[in-house]
Amino acid sequence: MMVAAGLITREQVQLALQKQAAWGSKLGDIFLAMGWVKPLSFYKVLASQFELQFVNLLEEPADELLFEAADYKNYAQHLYLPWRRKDGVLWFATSEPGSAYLRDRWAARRDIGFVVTSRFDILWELQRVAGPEFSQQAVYELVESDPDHSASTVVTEQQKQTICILLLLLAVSVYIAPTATGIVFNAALNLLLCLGFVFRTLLCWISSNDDVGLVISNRDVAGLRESNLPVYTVLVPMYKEPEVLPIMAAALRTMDYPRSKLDIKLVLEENDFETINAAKALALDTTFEIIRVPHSEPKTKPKACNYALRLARGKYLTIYDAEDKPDPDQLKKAVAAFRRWGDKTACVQARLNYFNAQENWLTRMFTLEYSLWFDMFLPALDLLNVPIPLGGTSNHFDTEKLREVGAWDAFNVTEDADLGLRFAAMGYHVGVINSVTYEEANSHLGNWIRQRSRWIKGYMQTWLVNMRHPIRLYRRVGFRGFWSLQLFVGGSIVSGLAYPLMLVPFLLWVITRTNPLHQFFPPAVLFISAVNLAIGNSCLIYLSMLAVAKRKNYWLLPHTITIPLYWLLQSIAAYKGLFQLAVRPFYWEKTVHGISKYTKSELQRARSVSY
Amino acid sequence: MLLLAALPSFTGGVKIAGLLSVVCLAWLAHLESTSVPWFWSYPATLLLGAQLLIVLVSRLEASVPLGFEALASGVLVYLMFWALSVWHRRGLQALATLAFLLALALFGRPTALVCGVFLSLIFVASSRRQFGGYSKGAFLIFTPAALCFLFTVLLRVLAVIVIHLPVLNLNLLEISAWRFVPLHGLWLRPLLPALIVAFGTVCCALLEGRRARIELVYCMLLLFLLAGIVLRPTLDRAALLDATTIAYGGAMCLIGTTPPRRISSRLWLLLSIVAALGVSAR
Repeated sequence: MMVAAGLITREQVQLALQKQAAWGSKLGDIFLAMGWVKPLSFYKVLASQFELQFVNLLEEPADELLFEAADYKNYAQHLYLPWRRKDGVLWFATSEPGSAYLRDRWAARRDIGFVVTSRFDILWELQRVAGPEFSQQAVYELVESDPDHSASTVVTEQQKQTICILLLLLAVSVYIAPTATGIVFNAALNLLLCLGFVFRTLLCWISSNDDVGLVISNRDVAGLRESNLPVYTVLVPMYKEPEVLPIMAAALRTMDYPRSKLDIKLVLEENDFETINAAKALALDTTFEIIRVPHSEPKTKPKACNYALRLARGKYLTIYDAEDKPDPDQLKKAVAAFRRWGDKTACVQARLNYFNAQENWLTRMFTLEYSLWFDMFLPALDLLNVPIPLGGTSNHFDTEKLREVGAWDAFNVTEDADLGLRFAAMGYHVGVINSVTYEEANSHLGNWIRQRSRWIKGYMQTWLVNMRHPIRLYRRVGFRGFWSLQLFVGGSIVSGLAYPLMLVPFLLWVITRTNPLHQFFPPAVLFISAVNLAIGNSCLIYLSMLAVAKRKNYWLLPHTITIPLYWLLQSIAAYKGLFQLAVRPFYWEKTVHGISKYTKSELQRARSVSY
Repeated sequence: MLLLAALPSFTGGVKIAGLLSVVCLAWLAHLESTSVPWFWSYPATLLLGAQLLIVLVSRLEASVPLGFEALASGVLVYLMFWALSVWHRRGLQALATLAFLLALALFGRPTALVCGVFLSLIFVASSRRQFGGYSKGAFLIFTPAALCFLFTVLLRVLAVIVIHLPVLNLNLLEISAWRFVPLHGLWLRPLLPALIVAFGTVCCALLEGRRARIELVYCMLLLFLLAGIVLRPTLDRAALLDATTIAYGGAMCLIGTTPPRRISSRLWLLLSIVAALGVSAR
């Protein structure tokens, strides 16, 4: 019929049949995914093939009174919705008139009829009718279903009381024995830092084994049958980032995954007209959908993702940032990982690195840090089977499990790290796969501080949330999980805050030789601090070198020596994060993307990619 | 009882024996992990442990701190050999292990440090392709030790704290006065059992039909150690102790990482250990 209508050629039909044999998708989905036919024309022909009426929902909108809130998820997944009631017949609009689900569900009903409409119209109508409720759920679902895991309350009453008691005890002991209190405080801080060094060194040592982290081989990927691959949802939350949109679109178009099984959603704020217009101007094919998130507070990425999750159709779901360039086989590797690891795996995290590492000192340091984090720390945490704080992007979820744990916390500004720990607390496994996503490293100091202070604030929120019921957490994640959380998440916060506290008195002493703090350093404590300073710092510098060697970025080796200066910047960000936690806990410091000088070349490369 | 009478002090001997037991148990665990039959691994551990004890407390009359330091040197070299022997399989992890151990050796006896440097250089040479050349490998191996050294010296110079760095106590003038001193039985006697075990280990590898590369490195290290001892102008009991434990440590590591599989080589090795025990007990 489509050939007869002149919508496609016979050659395209032949090609589509070949793809159908390989991908196992419906021919119509392949026509649309390949961009050979306009959706409106396609669905008109589809309607005539099924001898059904075609309706344009933009011209003849659905009767919103017929919508059932309990069925919103089904509407989004099976692409139908109640359209109108006429003469005692309830008419459903669907873009899948041959759907077995619809046939089975309504088989016994005589008062049900169907009309055909476009998939985009269904999503548009669903957002129009259910949007406000989706938005409300996106913010408050976790708060209502599991308030203990939501950061909407920064510090609980119990935590406030504990902090007050500790402060009171500290004040009393300072009053009674100031020197002894200072020594104990100093010793505890130094011991904690020392334990942090040891733990991180252990993680790196584990990960420096060539076999750790190499989970999915090329053979595993080649062994996947594309016809057995499920629909994969890709969420790309963006806000005022029109300039990097082509990079992301090019990267997603070159993904090695059947295009008819991709459900890519550009998640944009409804008032972000510049990005919406840029997306429209790109004339993206039908695998891309634009989701407009209604305006509400807090205006955060997790809220936008929660909103889009309600419209997701994929068995698996991943998130990419606007400027991301994932490895083309990443989705397949994630599917292979889920199949290998089994039902208890809720998420797999791909590794992140930067495409503009050579730009300046800051991007080099950022690259060193990410290499250390994603190539060394996370694979080791995975091997030890302890909670993994997820990175901000390229996390691949089992969609049902993501919904089950309440998805992202809209009030947590590192919702990814929080989600990784929540999965662990719920008994799910989070793994790390050997696939890389390249991002744009922050190349401007101000922008970097903004981003980093948000991360550290988020880590503080996450730690506070998880420590609301420490005994319960201990029972759920065990000894290793509990202490790795303290050292890895808690240690990151403490080291950021403590670094200047340790460095400044030391420098004062060296310069003036009259340090009033001398009394707080009895020989044993002085020894531990000296070990921290000499061996700990050496170790941490060396760990970055190992990460560089693992990725074979040997040109970065000499730059590792300057990393202590980077720690100083982290401390500035840590104090800013702490301040913000007190005054604006849910404020999302926006990181500006597309400011790298490499973005231009990436844009040119993206535009030169043919599909 | 004769052995106990020869101890520097009873409690000192017990302390050294205690630490030695821990080391031997760890070695036994290593052997067990390689599926060596118990009727070979248990006697081998017992016999080697016994002769180490005799050599340490009787022949060399080690004081407790010296004994501990010597054992630590042996353990360090054991782990370094482990890193060398697994680098084909573990790559960067082997390198990192060696680098961390070298940094640790900085705070131990100079003999262990020198052996560490020797083994690291061999590692750099043999893994140059994997790490993109000599310089990158050397940079990766020596950086932790170099940084620790620099930071520690800096702390000392700033008079903040003096962390003991034995390498700083080496008298360079004395080193420049090194000269050849003829072999003396007094030096070789405590070392002889260790050399017998070493010889047995190397022959065992040949009997097994292996290419014995790591054994070759071990022989080079022994020659290097012997040369160092022979060239010293004065008899240094601590250096002799270190050399003994290092020779044992290397041999035990080789046995642990590539245990004898054939009955003939197992028997040969056991015979060597028994012979060494006989020599040390005389």
